[in-house]
This record gives sequence, C-alpha cells and structure tokens, in this order.
Amino acid sequence: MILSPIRNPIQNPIPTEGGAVATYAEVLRDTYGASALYNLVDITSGTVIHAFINSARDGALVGWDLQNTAGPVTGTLAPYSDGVIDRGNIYTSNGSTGLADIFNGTTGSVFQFLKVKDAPIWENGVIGYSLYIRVNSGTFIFLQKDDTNNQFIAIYRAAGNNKEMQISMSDTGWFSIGLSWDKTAAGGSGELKVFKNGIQSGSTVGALGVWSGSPTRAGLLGRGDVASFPWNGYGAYSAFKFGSVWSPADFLAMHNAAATAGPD
Amino acid sequence: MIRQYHAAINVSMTSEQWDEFVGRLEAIGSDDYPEPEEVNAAWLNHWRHSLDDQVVIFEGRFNENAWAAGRIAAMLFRIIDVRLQDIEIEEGETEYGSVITYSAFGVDYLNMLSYGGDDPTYEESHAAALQYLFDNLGDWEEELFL
Repeated sequence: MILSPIRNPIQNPIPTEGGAVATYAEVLRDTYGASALYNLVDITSGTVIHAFINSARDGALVGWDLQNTAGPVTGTLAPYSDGVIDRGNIYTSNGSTGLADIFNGTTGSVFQFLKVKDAPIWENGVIGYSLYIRVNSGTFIFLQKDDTNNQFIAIYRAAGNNKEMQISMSDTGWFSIGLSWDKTAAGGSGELKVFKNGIQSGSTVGALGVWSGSPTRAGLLGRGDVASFPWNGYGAYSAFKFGSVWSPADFLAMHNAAATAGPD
Repeated sequence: MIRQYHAAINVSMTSEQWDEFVGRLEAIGSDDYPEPEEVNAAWLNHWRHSLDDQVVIFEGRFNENAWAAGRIAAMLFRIIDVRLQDIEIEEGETEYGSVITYSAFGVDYLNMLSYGGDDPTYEESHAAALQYLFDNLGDWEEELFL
C-alpha cells in the first residue's frame, strides 16, 4: 500500500522551487495528490467552476455571489450560495466530462471547506447539499446539512446498501468535512470514515455495498443539475482523491494547512 | 440597479402561453450584462421552477424598472391575445411581499410576487424568498434520493 506523504502542519507554509509560498490548491494537488479539485475562491466572475487540475472537468455555477466572504485561507474570498436558487454542476457541464470519467465509488475520498450563512441555518429543518454525487437512487454519496437540527450527515449508498454518518454541528466559521470510502479494506467488507476539521467523527463503518456505475449527477453546494436543496452558505475548496484514500493524518494535515498556505 | 427576488405564478395561462411568458421573464436583464462572463454570477438573472412548473422564482441585479407592472403587462397582453389596455392590474400584499394580479375581462391570468416588498434590501428579499420556499417545500423539492 502506498501512503501519501504526510506533512507536519508546522512545516507549512510550503515553499515552491522558486521560493514562493505554495497556494492551498497547490498543496492539495502536489502534497496530497488530489485527483480533482474545485477551487471556488478563484472564481472572480462568470459562471464557470474552474477545475484546478484539469480544465476538461470544469463545471458550471448558477447564481453564486462570487468573492463574497473571507475564505479559510488568508487573502481569499469565497462565494455564497443562497439556499434558494443557486447551485454548482460538476457533471458534464460546459461541454466538459465533469467528474464522471474519473470518479471511483469503490475507493476514494473527498475533502470540502464549508461555512453556513449563520447559526439559525443549523436549525431551519431543511436539507442543504454540500456535495451530491449520484449514479441512481440506490447508489450515491451525499454530504449535507440535515433536516435534523445541528446535524451534518454523510451518506454512502452502494447497491442500495445505505450507510449514514452523523456529525454534530453548530459551527458558524469555516469547517472542513472529509469522507473516505474503501470497499477493498477490511477484507472486502469496506471502510467508511468521516472527518470534521481533520478529526474522525464516530466509528469507522463497514459492510459497504458494491458500487457500480458512473455518476449521472454531480453537484457542489446543491444538487447541480437543478436547484434542489441548495446549500445556504459558503464553499471554498472541494478536493477528491480516487483509487486510494486520504488517511486520517492526511485529513488533519490538509485541514491545518489552510491556516498557513498562500492565497490562491 | 436593485438585487431582488421575484416570482411569477401562473393562474390561468395555458402551458404554451406560460412557457412563452416565462421565456420573456428569463430574458430580463440580458441586455444589462452583454458579457456575462465578466460579471458576478449573482447579478445575472437566474431562476428556479416549482415541481409543477406553475411558479418560477427569479433573482438577479436588475434595472429598477425591469419588473415594473407596465413592463410585465406589455409582455403579457400579446401572449394572452388581448389589447394592452384590456389588462387590469390589482396590487395586494402577502406575508412574503407585494403581489400584483394581472387580469383581463374578469379572468385572472397571472400573479407577480416581489419578495420583501417594493423597495427591499437584498437581505430582506432573500429572507422572504427563503421563507416562501420553506413554507412550500412540497411544491419545490423532489422526494429525496429520486
């Protein structure tokens, strides 16, 4: 098994060859080996969600209020999604292939930096997707503010086998959510882990279903293809790793690196 | 320019009339931002249709007169095949903002809702639109996992 390099957070900021401080997006790509990365703080105008690693995976946004609030990395500004209409589509939009061609539902990880509009959002009784990846009604991964008060949930469903992991939430500042899934782990039973701010939340879940198929929808801060349960708040980075998973140490280091990386 | 949420609510237009009318509404503001790739996406007219497609919520940063009753009536009259002077306008209030009903010959065709009232801040209009959505979730959100 090949492990990703683990950086001690105090080693950041990470200098590049030229001596400049690496941006956070560069850290996620170069140090942690992100397979795909949507860097929302670099969108200053227009409706394209720039895929940082491969522009063939660009997405399209609707209505986000760009550069709205200070991001988790000093010097960055993140967009606001209004919870009414706004959404981001990272599936076959703008003529791109989105995530569909590289997504791996058997083994992979996602890492997002998120923020809600204000504290009452956690108790408004309405779901808000931060990530929506769906093959069909029996196979999907959702990260969402739940309709249960003060709860964020991660859902991994494969072949109809549903696994949900709850995280208690009342945060009004930036927080990170990590999710790793690996059906090949634990002798094939699989392992599902969720992380808040780099710390694993709850126990590892096993007995995962067998993932089959490519995504037919993929959304950031909402369902993506239509305005359904949109996120009411802010989003900064969504990074994916496919074919292997980020370790607990990786999630913690990625979370901490935001405090010292250079602005994008 | 004012950034605000609006809703068009079909009362009795046929599906063909409604589709044409909504298409006209979706074009509002396009002249204001001829190079949309150079402006904030939140300023561009964008919209969301209810599940039954009988209500459409719009948001954008619009000219102050973009959603004026006279302009809406001018869009409507040809579509419902009456003269402009046959359109009657009646103003009212809802808990979400002001509403204008457009009718002709005693038939109500359309309600237009301005979230947050006549001259709201963006925050007031957004809060009203959000509350409207929450109060009518069944009309807007598909069953989960579909």
